[in-house]
This record gives sequence, structure tokens and C-alpha cells, in this order.
Amino acid sequence: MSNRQLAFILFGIMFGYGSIGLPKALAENAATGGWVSILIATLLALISTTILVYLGMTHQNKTFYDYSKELSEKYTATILTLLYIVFMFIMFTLINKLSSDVFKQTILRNTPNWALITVFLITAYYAVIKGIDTIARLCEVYGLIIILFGVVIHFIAFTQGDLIRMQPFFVAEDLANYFDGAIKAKLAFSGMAIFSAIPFIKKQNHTIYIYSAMMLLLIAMLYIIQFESSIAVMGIDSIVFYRDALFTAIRRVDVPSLQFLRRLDAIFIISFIISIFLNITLFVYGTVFHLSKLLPKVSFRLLAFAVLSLSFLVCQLPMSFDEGANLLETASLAGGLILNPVNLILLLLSKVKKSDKKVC
Amino acid sequence: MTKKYVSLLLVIMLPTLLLTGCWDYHDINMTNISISTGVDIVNGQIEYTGEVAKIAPAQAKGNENGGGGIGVYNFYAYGKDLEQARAAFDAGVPYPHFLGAARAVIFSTSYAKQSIAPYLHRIAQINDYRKTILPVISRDHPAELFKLKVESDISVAFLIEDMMSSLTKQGKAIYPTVGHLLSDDDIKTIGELIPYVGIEEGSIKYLGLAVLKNLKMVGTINLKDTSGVVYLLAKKPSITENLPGIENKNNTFSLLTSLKKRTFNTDYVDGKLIINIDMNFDATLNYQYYTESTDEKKLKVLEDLVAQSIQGKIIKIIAMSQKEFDCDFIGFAKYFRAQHPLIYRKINWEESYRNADFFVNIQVNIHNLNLADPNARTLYFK
Repeated sequence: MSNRQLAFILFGIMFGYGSIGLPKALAENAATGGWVSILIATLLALISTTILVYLGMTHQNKTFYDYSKELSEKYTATILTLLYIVFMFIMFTLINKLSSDVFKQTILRNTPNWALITVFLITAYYAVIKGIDTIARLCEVYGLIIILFGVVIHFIAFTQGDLIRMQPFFVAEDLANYFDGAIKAKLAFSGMAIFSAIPFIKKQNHTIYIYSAMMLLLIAMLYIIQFESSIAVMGIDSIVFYRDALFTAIRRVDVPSLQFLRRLDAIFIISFIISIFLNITLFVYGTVFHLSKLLPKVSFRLLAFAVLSLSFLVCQLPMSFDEGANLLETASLAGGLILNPVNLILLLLSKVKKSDKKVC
Repeated sequence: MTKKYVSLLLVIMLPTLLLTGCWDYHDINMTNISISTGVDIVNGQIEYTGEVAKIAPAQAKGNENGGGGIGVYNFYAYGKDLEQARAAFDAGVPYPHFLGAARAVIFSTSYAKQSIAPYLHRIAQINDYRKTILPVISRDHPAELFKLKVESDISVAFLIEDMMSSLTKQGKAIYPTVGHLLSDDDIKTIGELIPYVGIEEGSIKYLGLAVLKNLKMVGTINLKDTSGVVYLLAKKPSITENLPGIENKNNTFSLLTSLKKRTFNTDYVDGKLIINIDMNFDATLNYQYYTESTDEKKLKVLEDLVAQSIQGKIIKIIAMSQKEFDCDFIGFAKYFRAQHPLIYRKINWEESYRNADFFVNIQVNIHNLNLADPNARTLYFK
């Protein structure tokens, strides 16, 4: 897999559901200095991504289960892989459930949630069984569409916004709040875990560190554009009342000179659906891939079907939007707090083994 | 191979069947397309009124209210609150009401004095309402407005929206949307302005601006005084200034001003709020009532006179906001907060604003005589 594809996979899994509530989270915690929080969160995400990429590059052509088994033992590796499975399963199930709620509330009022959830699951199933190469190519194409739409929509929104609502850009006394904002932005930076399910080849992927860093920077720039254009339109005082802040801000923009495209929400919804599809598909792939490592005898298709069926059933559990959103926040935080130290320990073990070899 | 295509077909077909095809499909003929909404208080009850588009079959029969073959009909419903009034409306219409095409929402003065917040929040949260819809306050009952036969546009709401949109494009008015009002209200320390309309000589007219404090109407600004507001708030204000002749007292200079640069600088010195307003204008001498020669010196005098006129209008509006309405409806708090965030968190803005000192500095440059040459002379000049 090429470096560009890997970078777009990172984009596909990270950029999507997390962005919809990001302006609210940042406005609440960092006010107009939210862009600083995004940069801090990017730095944290870069560290997590680099650790995973390093592990992949050190253990060529192997994925998380393989190298954790090498570095520890089968039993520990199984438990650690299960952590990834549970994390990714919770992520895509909740993203699917919550985004279905958003679509139901905004465009498809009478369509039942189960129908929306099913649509995402069957399309994700179709993509997942085609393998990571197909998904990677999808990520490249869809990624470009999402970036293009995102930049155009939000630059148009800027023209309708008010520059004064974006200020003050930086308040030195609020630095601690900016760090709080960065923690609250974690959901928008979740997803680098997918690199645990992708084998790297040193010869082909030696510049992946730069590619992934550049992609994280691009994601950060897009988040900053989204955040700034949203607060230019709505102001921080208003945006905090909306869980779907980004969507609400877009709906407050009307450009009569664009004629039939005067309402930007129509284009926004298309790009949002595509990005949600990528989020779900990649998390599903990660879940099924890790599971297939633990159960090598069961076919990949059967595992995918079982995982998606279970996810459908979990989506039917009675859960309000707020409960789901809080659970997703907690899952992304817990994922970061558990998986990052695990990866760091594995990295240290790799280093120790490497130096042992050298000594020998 | 066939199996592959069958599964692909299934993937394509299922979403089509599961989404709009089954649940959210609505034929346009089976929908009440709302053009406008009016909210009033009549005999202690909420009056929910407005205009609904007549779809094709109605056009064939002709219509009384609309022009150009597109018609509207009016509706009236009453209830103790918004929900009951809406329920009363729903009980008498054949199809579900669609609000996404509404052009304007018209509040009566009596309703606006109580607070338009409930209806604005309704618009913000109800899915199909456009958040960029134009809100206006009417001096006369909205029901009276809807009864008027509009000759110049499709319907009352279209007329109001087109009128305000055209004036705003020309730089002679402001066009706040529901979204703007809600965003400003959430700041809590600033007021809002909203177009004020009414019936004059049998037709609907833009009468000026209504001032809102916490989304409650506290007064109005006459149309002739709104220039000061437009100079301060419009994106590209462009207003005609008339000045008496300098040598010929019967003459009048008609100048069109256009804003080049506007900055609001705020400060807080010894517990006193100071606001500096600096504005640069270009002006075009449209024409003179009687041709009077102009030279550089005279143009300089004219520039100073225009600057004084603009300054006077701005100072008048600021004085109104500080004394008459006791409300920062221009929104200087946004600028102060951006420039001095830490001080803003500590002070009582309303009190500071009441006693604030304003310094208004206006520069005007007449750069264009509209291609006229008032100094031209012929051989026969007397």
C-alpha cells in the first residue's frame, strides 16, 4: 500500500463524525482560541500515530496481534488485540447510531433509525469484504471530494460570517483552557488505531512518518477552517447550545448569488455522509481484521457479517442521543488512555529487543 | 460474475428502498407550502396567520391575491400558546405544512413587546424552517397586512423580503436573519435591530427599525434616522447626502457616499469605556440642483460638510442607544470583548456602555463628479 493511501486511510477514519460537535466542544472550553486547542490535539495525535507507525515499521509486514505476540506472549497479545476490537466496535457502532440520529433529525424525519443504520452497515460490509486495498482507493477518491467540498463550503461560510465573532484569537491567560479544549477534541482525532491493522513494508513506506504528519496537519487545518467559519457565522455564545454545531452553522448560511446552491447544507450533507461512511467502514475493517487474527479459521466474510449483525443489535438498545454521545466521548478518551500506553510499552519492548539483538 | 453483480445491485437497491422511497417521500401537490408566518396577540390569544402557496390546480381557477399566475391564500388560527395555535391550524388544512420555503416571519408590535424569543427558538429548532429567514415587526396587525392586495410582488412576504433585500444590496438598510438575532441575543449584553414595517397609504412600507432588548421590542427608529445605523452596521453602506449650495443658497449638492474603511477601537481607561469610531468614505457628486462651479477648495468644504453630516447621524444613533433605549444595539460589546477579553469578563457592560465616551472621526474624499464638469465655459459665457 502506498504512503498516500495510508495517509488517506488516516483521513478517512479521523475526519467525519468527530467534526460535527467539535465547534461546540471547542467554544465551550477554549472560546475563540479553539484553533490553539486543535493544534495541541494534533500534536498529541501525531505522537500516538508515530508510535503505531513505528511499531508497524519495526515489525515489517506484521500487524498488532503478530508483533504483540512476538514482544509478549500469545495470551497477552490476545487480550491486547481484544482491547482494540472492543474499542473499534464501540466506535463504529456509536458513530453509526449517532449519525443516523443526526440524519433523522435533519433530513430524513420519517425514516426509522434501523433503516439508516442498516444502509450504513450493508455498504460498510460490501466495502470491508473487498479488502483494505479497495477501501484505501475509496479513501483517496472520497477524501479528495470531502476536502474539496469542505474547503469550498467553509470559505463560502466565511464570506457570510463576521470576523469580529472570531476574536480574540489568542488570550495568554486562557492557555490552560486551551489544553482542556484539546482533550475535549479527542473524538475528532480518534482513529489512528487503524494503523494497528495494516501491515507496513519498510522499503515502500519509509516516508510514512512524513505523510502521516502532513495528513494530520491537513486534518487540523480543515478543523480550524470549520471551527473558525462556524463561529464567524454563529459566534461562540450561540454555537455552544447545539450538539450538531457544524451542521447548525452551515444551515445559518444563505448565499442568494449561488442560486440553486444558495443553501449549503445540501452539499454539506453529501460530504458528511461520505465521511461517515469512511469512518464506519475503516473501524469495521479494523474490528473484523483483528478478530480474524484471533479466529483464523473463521472466514473473513462470516466474521464481518457477525460483527455487523451484532453492531445492528447493539444499535437497537434504548439509548438517547446524549447518552450515546457521552458514551462515544468516553470510549474515545478511554481508547486513548488505554491503547496509547499499551503501544508505548510495546515500542519500548521493541527497542529493548532490538538492542538485545545488537548486543548479541 | 453474476453473483458479484447481484450483490452490487442489492447494495444499490437496498438504500433506495430503505431511505426516501418509503418514508420521507412527499409529493409537492400534497404539501402546504408556507410563504410567510404572522404572529400576533388578539384578545389574549396567539394568532397564527400567514400565506400558503396555491399549487397548480388553484392557478387554473385564477386567484385574487397573487400576481403573475402564482397565488397564495391566507390562513388564521388561534390558541392559548404557539402550540395550540399551530394545532388549530393543522386541524383545518388538507396536507402537512412545509416551512422551508417561507420568506418572512412577521411579528405584531404587541407580540414583539412581550418577546419574540419563543418564536425565534421555534424557528431555530424546527427542522424545515430556514434559519436565514427574515424577521420583521409590523406596526399594524399581520392579519391586516396579509389582507392587502399586493400589486408589485407575488405576495406580502415576497414583497417584504424583496424590498429589504434590495435596500440592503443598495447599502441603504440592514437585513438581519433569525440566525443573526439568536447569535446576538446569546451574547446577552447587546440588543438587536429588526426591520419595522406597516401600512401607509394602502400599501406596505418599510418604516424604519425596531429596537430589541433581550428580544423584547423597546422602541423604534424612524426611517430618516436609520442612516446612522446603516453607516455603522451595513456591509457596504451607500447613502445619499444632500447639502445646501455654498455660493448659491438655492442650490443643493446631492452626493452618494460609499464606505471604504470602518474601524471600531475600544479602550478602558480609569474605569471608563472609550470607543473610537474611524470611518473613511468615498463620495460621488451625483448632481447639483443648479450648476455651481466647483474647485478644490469648494470640494474640501463639501467633504467636511458631508463628514459632519455623517458624524451627526452616527452620534444621534449612539445617543439614542445610550439614553433613549439604554441598550447597545449596535453591538460594540463584540468589539470590546475581542480587543479586551479579560476586562470584559470583569466589568458590567450595560453600566459601562451607558457612560461610555465616543469619538467619531469621519473622513470623506469626493473622488468623482459623476463625469460632470461644472466649471466648463463657452465663448458666450456670461
